[in-house]
Parts: sequence; structure tokens; C-alpha cells
Amino acid sequence: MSAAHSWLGQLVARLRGWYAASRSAFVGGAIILVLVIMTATVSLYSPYKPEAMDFMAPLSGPTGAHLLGTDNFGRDILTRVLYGYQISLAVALGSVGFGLAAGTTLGILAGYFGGSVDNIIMRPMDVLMAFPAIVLVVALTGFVGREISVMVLAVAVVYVPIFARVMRGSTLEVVNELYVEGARARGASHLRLMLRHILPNAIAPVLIQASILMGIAILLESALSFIGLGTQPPDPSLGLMLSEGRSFMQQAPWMVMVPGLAISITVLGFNLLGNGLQDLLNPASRSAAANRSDDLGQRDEPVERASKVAQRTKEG
Amino acid sequence: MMSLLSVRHLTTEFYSGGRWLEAVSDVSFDLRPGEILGLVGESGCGKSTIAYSVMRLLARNARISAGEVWLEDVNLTEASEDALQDLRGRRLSMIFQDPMTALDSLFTVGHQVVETLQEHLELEPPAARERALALLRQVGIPAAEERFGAYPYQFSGGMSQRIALAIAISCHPQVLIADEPTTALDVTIQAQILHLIRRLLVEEQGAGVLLITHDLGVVAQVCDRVAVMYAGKIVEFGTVDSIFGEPLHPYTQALLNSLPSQGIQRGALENIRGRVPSLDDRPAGCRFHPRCPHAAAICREEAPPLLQRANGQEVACVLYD
Amino acid sequence: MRLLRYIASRLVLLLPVLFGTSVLIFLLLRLIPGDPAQVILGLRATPERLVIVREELGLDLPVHLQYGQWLGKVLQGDLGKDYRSNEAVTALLGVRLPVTIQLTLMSLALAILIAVPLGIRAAIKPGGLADRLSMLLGLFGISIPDFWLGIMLILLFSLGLRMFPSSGYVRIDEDLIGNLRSFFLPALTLAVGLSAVLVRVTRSAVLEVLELDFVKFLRAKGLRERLVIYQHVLRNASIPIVTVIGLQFGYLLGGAVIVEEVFSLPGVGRLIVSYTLERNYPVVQAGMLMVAFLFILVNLATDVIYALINPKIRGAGT
Repeated sequence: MSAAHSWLGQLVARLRGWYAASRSAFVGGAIILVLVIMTATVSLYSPYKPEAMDFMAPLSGPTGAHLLGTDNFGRDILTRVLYGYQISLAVALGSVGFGLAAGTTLGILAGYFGGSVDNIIMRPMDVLMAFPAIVLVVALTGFVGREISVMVLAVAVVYVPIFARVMRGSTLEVVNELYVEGARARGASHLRLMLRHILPNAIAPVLIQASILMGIAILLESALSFIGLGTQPPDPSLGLMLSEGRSFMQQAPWMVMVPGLAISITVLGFNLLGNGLQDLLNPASRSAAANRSDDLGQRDEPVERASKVAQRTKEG
Repeated sequence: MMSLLSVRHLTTEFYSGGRWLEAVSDVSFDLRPGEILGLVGESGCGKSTIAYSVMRLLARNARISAGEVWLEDVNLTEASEDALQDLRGRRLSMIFQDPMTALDSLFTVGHQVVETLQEHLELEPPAARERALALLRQVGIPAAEERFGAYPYQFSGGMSQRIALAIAISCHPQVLIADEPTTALDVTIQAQILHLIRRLLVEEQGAGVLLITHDLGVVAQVCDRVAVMYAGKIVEFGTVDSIFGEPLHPYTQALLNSLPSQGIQRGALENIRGRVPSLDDRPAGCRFHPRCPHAAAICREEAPPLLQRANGQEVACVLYD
Repeated sequence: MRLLRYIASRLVLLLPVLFGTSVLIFLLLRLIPGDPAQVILGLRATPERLVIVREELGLDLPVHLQYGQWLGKVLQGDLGKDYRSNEAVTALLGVRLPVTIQLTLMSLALAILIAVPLGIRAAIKPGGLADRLSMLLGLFGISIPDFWLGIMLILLFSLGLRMFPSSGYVRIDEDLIGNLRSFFLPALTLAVGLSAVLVRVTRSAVLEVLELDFVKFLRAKGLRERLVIYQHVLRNASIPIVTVIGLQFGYLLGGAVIVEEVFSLPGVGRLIVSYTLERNYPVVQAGMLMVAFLFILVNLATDVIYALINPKIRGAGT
């Protein structure tokens, strides 16, 4: 009994500590954790299958049997939302994973070697960034095919230059640090320098970015499905549910309200987590920006800083 | 003698680490018309805080917790924000240490003079322009007509400080506060700016100048009287002649001893043994006692008051009780 | 004169990006599977007909020659023909482009009107009401999907309050008021996301400028606070704000794809979506090129605005 008590007490104390460290990261992390658990185990507790139609109760409002109502086929909306999250999260994880792996590699190479390597890597990235993400993703999925794997790759293509830019920037910040110079002087190889000395010290901004981009991937997936280029019926996808619900929004507004809220909550969770991580991992970021140089570099500095803010907050 | 600016028992605090810390403790002095009063001390002794307290331009985390500041018949510590805005630049002006950052880099220098004139004097644009040009000529900007439309980055530090001075004196203020006005400048330029201040404000207009500096050389050059500050308090006060001739307070003596005999050098104040105590670590009793060669037991317990001596010099030290 | 030379120097830097985008667009649509000839002829096409059509379209040539041909035509203002209707793509775009441009510009204006005053107030009084509002906007504005926001606005203002039409497009030369009404909700939808980003940037930029020495000097010389903030501080803070607007214009163009769909506005975004679905290469190619071109144009505009704001940039451009 007392053992259980102290165990619980420790857990509460630890949670309090995290909450105190960053409210934003704590709340965001909690939202995501709860959603992931609910989504992963939905088949264990939901009385409905996502495709199961209840012809007795189409367009039913929230009731005891259907907590968040049903759609025009009498399918349970809550169940479909939870299954829909599976696709959303899969696309988000996949695209961020690919984008992160490729982008980080390119970024560290560009930042480490500089010069022409930098140009060869980053100029195409600039071109890629000149496109609004959604236009690129629409074109890719539209022409290649409307499968989840294509969606993942299309979003990853959009993310590579973003990750590359962030990684390049933070590599440049640490590449001349003493510990890197020291390792170099001791004869460490390029590969070792990059993997052992630069990567661990430069990765934090990339991870913050990753959290924000998870949220944006969920937005992109649902947007694609919404305009008919993503997940195809009858698979449950949040964007698809929204577009199906539009025809019924006067009789059954919950058909459009619930999936939209579901998307917003998830994205909010990732944004909160990202903002919180930003404060935790990089507390100097705000005060450092206050140093204003007065030479000609003045122009580039606010531009770069602003673009960081822009990337952090939204890529569209 | 009547005084222009009267600082009475001023205490200013900063909020830091969850509590209020005194940066300036019970400081009183008077600034008379036609004099330059030097306020000298090491960095962190609270001299700039006095300037900002008088101007009522303290940072968000600072407050005046006790005392009063009077500009003739106006109580600045109780004046409204609107009243202060009207007084600043018109009756009470200030210039800063780094002239290169004091001007807004996105506006022409002409505009920055003109907007001050228009704010306070209700001049028509052509009249304001004429007056601004005259001011720029007065402070010694060559080819003022041509340089009226130039931007701050096109001027040197010395020229920028002249422009700032033109702005500060544009409405004939009674009091100018100059916070380390020459610290960022070359020695030759320094002397020019100081003489400009003396000529334009003191000699021509009979204004009072509060000159804040850590440089005793600057004090010797232009000041009439001087207040020596240590750790938030005035420790010695008198005419420049008497203080340079017969420094009483051990801190003042140490300051003067640290000057090289043949000339005056910047940064020399850091040569006294020990360090200026930080805000949250001020010793009890006389604040100088841990660094004082004459420190006695009583110095650890009692803070000596600033008392007048026979020659008119004021000093806060038990050696002279 | 100086400004013109500066613009020219920026243009020289932007041309390679435009060239790169054109290559990218072209390759993207060539390298991914799909045969336009098949699209034109449909499933009943005979192999012989397919070969003939491919030759007509120049698809039998190596890719770099195809690109050269296409680029040559583009430079002459010929964007090709719609595979299906055989209409000139330029005519199609001529109708669609104004819709997208109006939509993005209106939402840009709305976003600036919402975000900049709010961001300034938030910075002037940290912890105050405006600051809290701006935090909420900054967080929720980027978390709510724009297509859902659009639907909710329709639900509330069109179907509920009947204040604005839920869909459809009124041409500006037909009925100005009707046109503005038809654009209001879509523009607002797009503006929310942008203002979320903008309010944060404005707040932090203004906070930073407020710390600078010249602000102290402006106050010391007794300039009224309104002028200090709205003339001096805002102008100094505007470089990061303009930068973000430039970068986020891409977001507006992307968002237009979705929002045009939600509100049934016949813009370039919807054009790209529907013609992508039917693999109409020339139309999609041209549409994407236009989007990239607009984006680059806006970037050039931001560069020019920098120069107008900051005399030093003007001077350095030469």
C-alpha cells in the first residue's frame, strides 16, 4: 500500500516537474499521447467497425449509442475519427521520418563542407521551396496515384528542403565550436566529426521543427483527402469525412464539426509540443535575436530570423 | 543659490530574482543654472539610473521607491505621462553614450531634428526646417544644407553625437542630462563635444548640465562641481578644484591615485583593489569598507551620512566625524 | 535611379530560381508515369494513333529537347493547349488568374489589418489583453485547417446568419459589392492562418525594436508615444514583418487551392486540382508555373519594399 503510494507520489512529482518546466510541451505531449493510445487500441474497445453502417440511424445526432452521432450511412463518427487518426498519424510519421532522414543528411553535408557542396545541395532546395507545399503535393499525388505511400512521399519531398535548411543552419552554428575543432585536431574523420560531434549538438532545432511538421503533415493529409486526392472512400480519413459531410451540413452539422475539431486538436497538440520544446531546448533563441548588428549584415539577419519564425509556425 | 533641478532622497529599485534591489539609495543634490555638475563613479554605481529616474524613463522592471525630483516648480516624480512627454525635449533633455544607435537609422537626420521642433514648438514646416538647419550649423555639421537629407549611417560617431546634441538643445532646455556622451568617441572628438556642450548650453543659455561619466579626465576638463558615487550612494560632493585638490573620501583618493600622473587615461578606475559589490550583495555599514584601507570596526556597522565640512565639501566617511 | 539598379540586381538573383522551377515543373510531370496521348485518346486508342499523337505533341523527342521546345514557346507567351478542349491555356489562365490574385490579396490585406495592430499592442503591453489574444490567435490560427474553418464560416455566416453567399463568384466588373461579398468569407478563411503567423512576428519584432537605444532617445526628446510607436518603431519592425509576408505568400497561394474548392471559386488552385485529376499536362504545367512566378514576383516585391524601408539597403544595392 505504502509502496504504491510512494510510486504514485513519485509519478505525480515527476509530472509536476515536467509541467513546471514547460506547460506548453506538457499539454501538447499529453494530447498526443492520449490520442495515440486511443487510436492504437480503438479496435479493442469500440463497439463499431469504421465501415459498419447502421441503417436504422443515419444522420443521428449524438446519442448514448453513437456518442458523436452518425453519418449519412449510419456509420459511427467517433469510431471513424479514431480510425481516421491511424491514417493521419501514419502519413505524418512516414513523411516526417523520410523528410527528416534525407533533409538532415543534406543539411549537415551542406553546412559542414560549405562552398560548392553547399551550393550544389542548397540551390535545388531553394527551388523546391519556391513552391507552395500543397501545390507540389497535389501535383505529385494527382499524377502518381492516390495511395498512402504516395502521399507520404509527396509530403516528404516538401519537407526535405525545410529540414535541410534548419540542419544546415544549426550545423553552421556548431561547426566552429571548440569541441569540434578539438576532435578535428585529434584527426577525427569527416564522417566521425559529423556523426559524433556535430549531429548530437545540432539536432535540437530539427526536432522542434519535426514536431511542428507532424502537425502540418496531418493538415496536408486531410486537405488532400478533402479535395479527393488523398485517402479514398470507404477508408475513414478526417479530410474525407469533412468533404462527405459538406452535403449534409445543414441537417447534420456534427458531420463536419467533429472531424474538423479532431484535426485541430491533434495539430494543436503538435504545435504546443513544438513551441514547448523550442523554449526548453533553446531558451537563448529569444535573447540572442535581440543583438542587432549595424553593418551591412543587418539586412540578412532579420530576414533569416523571420524566416525561422515563419518555418517554425507554418509551412503552406 | 536657486537650483534648476533638485533631487531629494532619491531611491530607485530594480526587480530581479523575485525581489526589489536598491540601485540608488537616498541620493540628494542640486543642479544650478549655468553649471556642469559631474556625476562620477564606476559602472554599476547607479549614476545612469539617476539619469533615467530624473527623466522618468526607467525600464519596466525599475521603480522610484522614495524621494522626489523637482525641475524648478514641477515635481517630476509625480508628473503624469502627458506632462512628462511635454517637458522632455523642451525643458529637460538627454543625450546618450552611443550616438550611432541613438538616432533612428531609417529616417533622415533632418527629419529627426524637425520632428522634435514640431512636437514642442508648433512650427510650420518651412520654419522648422530653417531652424533645424541653423541648429545643425550651430553644432558644427559641415555643409548642413546638403546633409540635411542624409541618413544616420552616413555620419561618423562624433558627427552623430553633434546631431543628437542639436536635437537635445533644439527647444532651449533648462537642463541637459548627458550620459557618458563622449565615452564612445576618440579623445580629440571628445574634447570638441564637451566644449560644444559648455558653449551652447552653459555659456549661451545658462542651462544646467548633469554630466554622467566614469572618466575623471572628462570631469576635470569641463565640470564645475562633482559628485562621486559608490554603490548607489554619493560619497563625496564638492567643487572640482576642492575635490581634485584635497580628496577626502578614501574612495575618491583611490580614484585619483589610480590616474597616471602625466595624463588622464580611460578605464583607470578599475585599478582599485577588490570589486564593486553587485546589487544583491551590498555590504552593511559603509558600502566601501571591504575595499577601504582605513576601514575600522564601526565602518562595518554604521553607514556614515553625507556631512558638510568647513570648506564646503561634503563627505560620507567616519574619518572626518 | 539607385532603386532601379537595386531592383535589377535582385532580379538577376531571382532569374535562376525561376529557371530552376520551370525545369522542376517540367521534369516532375514528365518523369512520373502517365501518357498524355493515352489521356487524349482514351482507352480505345489504337497503338498507331498513340504514336501519331505522341509525335504531334513532341513526346517522342528526348526530354531536354521537349523542355527546350516548351520553354521556347513559354517565352513567346504560348503556354500550350488544353488537351481536352483544345483551347489556348493562356485564355484559360486569363480567366482564372484574377480570381486567385484577388483572393490572395484580399486575405493578405485582412491578415495585415488583424495581425499588425494586435501584435503591436501585444508588444507594448506584455501580459495584457491584446497579448493574450495574440497568443490565442497565434496558436489556434495555425492549428485549425483552413478548409474546416471555411466550412464553419459558411455554416455560421451563410447558412445561419445569411450574411454572405456560401459559394459562387461574382465578377468584379459586374457588381463590385457582390464581388467583395463573394470574396469576403474565403479571404477571411485564408487570412486567419496568415495572421496567426504575422501576429507572432509583429509582436516579437516590435518587442525587439522597443529595446533599442533610439527609442529611448525618441522618448527623451519628448516625442509623443503615438509617433514613437507608429512611425519609428513600426517602421523599424517592418523588415521582419515584410519578410514573413513574402514567405507566407506561398502559404496563401497553397491555401487558395483548398479555399477555392470549399467556396467554389474558379481560380488557378481549383484549376490545378481538377486538371491534375484528368492529367492535362499543359494546363497543370502552366498553372504551376504561374504559381511559382507569382511567388517569385512577391519575393521581388518584398526586396523592393526592404529598400524603400531601409536607406542602407538602397545604398548597398549599387
